Amino acid sequence: MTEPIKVLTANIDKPNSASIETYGDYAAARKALAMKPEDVVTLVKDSELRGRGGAGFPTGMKWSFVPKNAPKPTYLLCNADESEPGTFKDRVLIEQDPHLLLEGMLIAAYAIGSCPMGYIYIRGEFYFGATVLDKALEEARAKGFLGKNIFGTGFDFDMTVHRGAGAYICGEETGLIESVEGHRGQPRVKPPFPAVVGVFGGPTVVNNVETLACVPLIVKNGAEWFKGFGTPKNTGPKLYCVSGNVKKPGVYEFPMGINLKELIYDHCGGITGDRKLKAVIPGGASAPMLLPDEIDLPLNFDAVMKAGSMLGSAGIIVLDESVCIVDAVWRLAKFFAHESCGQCTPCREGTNWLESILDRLERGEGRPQDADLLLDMSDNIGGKSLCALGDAAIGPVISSVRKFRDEYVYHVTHKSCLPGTRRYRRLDMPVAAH
Amino acid sequence: MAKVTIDGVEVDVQDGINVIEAAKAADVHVPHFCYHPSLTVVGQCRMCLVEVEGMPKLQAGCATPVKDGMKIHVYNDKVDKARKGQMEFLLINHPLDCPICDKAGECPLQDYSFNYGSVESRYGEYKRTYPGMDRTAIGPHVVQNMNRCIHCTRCIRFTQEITETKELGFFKRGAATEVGVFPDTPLDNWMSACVTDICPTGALTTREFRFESRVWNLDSAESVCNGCDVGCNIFVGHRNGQVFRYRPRVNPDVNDHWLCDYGRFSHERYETDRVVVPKVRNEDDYLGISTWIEALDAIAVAFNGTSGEKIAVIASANMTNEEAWLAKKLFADNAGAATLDVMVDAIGPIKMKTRTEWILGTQGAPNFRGVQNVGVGAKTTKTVEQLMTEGAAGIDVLYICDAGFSDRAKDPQVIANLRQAKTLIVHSWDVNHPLNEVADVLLPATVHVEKEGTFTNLQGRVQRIHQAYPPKGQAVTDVEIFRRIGVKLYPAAAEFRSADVEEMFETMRGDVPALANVVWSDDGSGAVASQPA
Ligand SMILES: Cc1cc2nc3c(=O)[nH]c(=O)nc-3n(C[C@H](O)[C@H](O)[C@H](O)COP(=O)(O)O)c2cc1C
Ligand code: SF4
Ligand code: SF4
Ligand code: SF4
Ligand code: FES
Repeated sequence: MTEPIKVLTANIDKPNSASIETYGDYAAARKALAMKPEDVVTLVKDSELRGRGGAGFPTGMKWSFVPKNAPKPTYLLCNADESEPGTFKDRVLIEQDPHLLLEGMLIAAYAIGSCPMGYIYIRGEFYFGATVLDKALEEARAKGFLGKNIFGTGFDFDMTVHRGAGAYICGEETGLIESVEGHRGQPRVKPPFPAVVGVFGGPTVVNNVETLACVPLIVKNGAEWFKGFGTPKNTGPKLYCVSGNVKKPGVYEFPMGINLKELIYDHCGGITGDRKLKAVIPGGASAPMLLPDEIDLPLNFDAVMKAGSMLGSAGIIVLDESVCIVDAVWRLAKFFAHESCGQCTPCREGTNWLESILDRLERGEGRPQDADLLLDMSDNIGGKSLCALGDAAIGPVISSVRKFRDEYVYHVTHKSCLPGTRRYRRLDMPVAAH
Repeated sequence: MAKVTIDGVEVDVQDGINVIEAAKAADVHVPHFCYHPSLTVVGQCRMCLVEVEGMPKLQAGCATPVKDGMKIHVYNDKVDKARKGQMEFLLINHPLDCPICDKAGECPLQDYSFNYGSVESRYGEYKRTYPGMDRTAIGPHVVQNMNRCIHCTRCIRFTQEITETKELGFFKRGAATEVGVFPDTPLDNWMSACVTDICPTGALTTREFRFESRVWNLDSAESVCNGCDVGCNIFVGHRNGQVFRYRPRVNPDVNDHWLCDYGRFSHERYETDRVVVPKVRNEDDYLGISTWIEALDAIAVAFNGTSGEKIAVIASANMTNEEAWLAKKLFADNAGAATLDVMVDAIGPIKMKTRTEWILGTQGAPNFRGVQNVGVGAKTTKTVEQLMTEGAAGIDVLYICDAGFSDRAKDPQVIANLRQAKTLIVHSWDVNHPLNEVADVLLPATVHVEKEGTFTNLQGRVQRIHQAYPPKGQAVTDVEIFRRIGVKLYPAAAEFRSADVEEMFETMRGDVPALANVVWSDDGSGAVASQPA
């Protein structure tokens, strides 16, 4: 059995874990700032660190896309919007070990070059996290770890915490950029890509909290050490968020690639009430569902992708046999319809339509053509929308219709849910306005 | 330059332009809603999806710059399915009330529905509506029906990027997203009605044109706005001798896609009773209806009974170049009038945006510059100003080519001053103009949509106007009036033989340096004037 590790989470159980005294004196940043920026980028490339925000994009490569000698300053944005349902890993780092994140940002800003300013974009609901970060920033500034001439190297960098108003779409990097600029949170069309024209017109790097938290560890311990966790191309320590029908939900840290079945049954204590497993969503709400016979796989970017889903934000949602699949998918569809920014056609109209059909199926008003309609409509959304929210919205729909078609048909023919399953919603509940 | 293949047709286009523009070179139309050549690209409607070989996903044609060697498919099965899918999404919540919608007949949403929509709907849910937002006056001219909106944000971008007044924005989100004005910020700017032109649906219409006519029952004439000296290119929408609307006619060098509200609705001045017959003052001092022959006789008597020093002519900045030229021929060159001058009222300034820059209209008539170019006002004993303020005493014949030459011509004191001339001859189309009453000979004149000819705008650009409908009653254009007088008074003079303005323009080239090198643009409607150095 793979043992949980404490690498990213090394500090979190210490008393006063959020204070700079507990954290230390930014040794990794001191080391990085003594290196050439290019060498820091190379080091991160060598570590094969991939973004923890969802897409798994190689972080060192992202940093190297920033054009040198751009007319405007470069900006570093930390994506702390953490709003993918089933995901709650960044929150732990923010609240319990904020200096790990700040040190990571300091190193990242130095590495990408001509970056005077960083923003931590934190979802509005994380009020406590925002206060922790603000306090940590004060501490770091007081020590001279932020501000002018850091560590006497001549490098200037500061950051600020920007609280969002609680929109999922502001976690999408260009939506985040718009929001930081004070605009309505809605994604931008690409090109230009943020690395070239991002926030305030300058080149911009957007990285997830956990991604940035890995950076000081890489600088401190080296790329080889980092690659010691996981398998090639899927390296490093990784936080997994497990929720749903398991006995011990929570945030778990393992080397990248823990077996999903092992995670659920051995580490999380198995299914609540020892019921049968029905499906697993392995990477946050937008990841296609896996059936019980598909879960014997390592939870890393490539393996989950190969299994037809995605690791995404590593939010693992476990559904047991008592769950009505149509109800679960309706809930997810409702989330996406509610969070759609509304600017592009397939997502604005399509997510709402998906939700309406699923709602009707749950109410016993399903029609025989509904399952095929859901699939065909999803095809008109997937890959057609302006940003990836459209693709996210169809993940649960397509996979559930394909894998649980009988259950959909049952809803149509019997006008009710499968015996033994329950829905979590009262059907007389008013359908809230968006 | 980039060589790209669009549906099998290889074309050379400028590197980096988007697929929609590149496809035009191959004569392929990429359906689109949110893209507008004069606004930023937002990639929102997803109607323009095309397949680019080598890219797994379909790409938005508006947001995809072409690169050398690109192979693009605008029409194939994959694109077709996607396009029909977007069309379906756009229509599920659209009221499809074309029968009562003013946009019908010129509506991109309607047109694409024909091409890519489905006869049967798969949508079995309730349509979204925006209660209370289906007939909202969001400004003095624009009425919004949010139910018809397809969220393309063209209108929002117009107020952000062109007028920079930012009255409009997106509110709420998801399927409930609505377009609206910010509280206490009505859509009240000097170009507000342009949003109704660029709106690809009937969501935004003008209060003035709403329910006035089905657009297919209107005829259209290419003309130029005469609101100011910018000379915006327009289509005159008309029927049965009545103007229903002006619409912008795209000219990137002048008004691009825009019109100012003042100019757009300036045809309302033509909604008045018209002077339709000549009138001559008789021995009883009564201004009575006459025939053209009687009127011309009266004019001949007046001109023959005096000499050039005692003739004064007030031309008008509303005249076409041809009218002004013929007036100069008639009055200065043949009758020897000592006074021939023109003036113009100040206006605005009205800001108008070409594709690249702002220009300012400052004159309340379209052709002050052109009228001066033909020589009016070059040699004059008195100015219009002097005639108006010092009076016309001692003048035998005062000939006013257009009662509307200035707003000040309605001032009783000015009228009294002008009336000091022994004989007062006036062209007028507005039956209510106070100058009419005091004229000795009143000639029924035409408005600019009844004329053929050219105007010269503030840039020196010479632009053609075309007749929308014939003059009213017995009215004729100024060119024809001057020609009739010329034939009567100077039968030997060649210039009065023909009233063909195009022929006249060619003659004028030899006479007027500013017109010598004018080159007409391709369609012959909007002229590109190349000025002599
Ligand atoms: C709809 C949507 C929501 C997203 N939400 C988040 C989020 O809450 N947190 C996050 O880190 N990344 C989120 N992302 C991914 C970001 O766009 C971006 O890829 C990521 O922040 C990059 O960081 P990384 O390279 O470190 O992974 C979201 C993407 C989409 C399409
Ligand atoms: S896919 Fe959805 S969230 Fe993304 S831009 Fe389109 S409407 Fe907005
Ligand atoms: S009102 Fe018209 S122009 Fe404005 S967003 Fe809607 S459809 Fe587009
Ligand atoms: S700017 Fe001048 S020419 Fe253009 S529409 Fe307005 S009044 Fe007419
Ligand atoms: S025209 Fe390209 S997305 Fe609208």
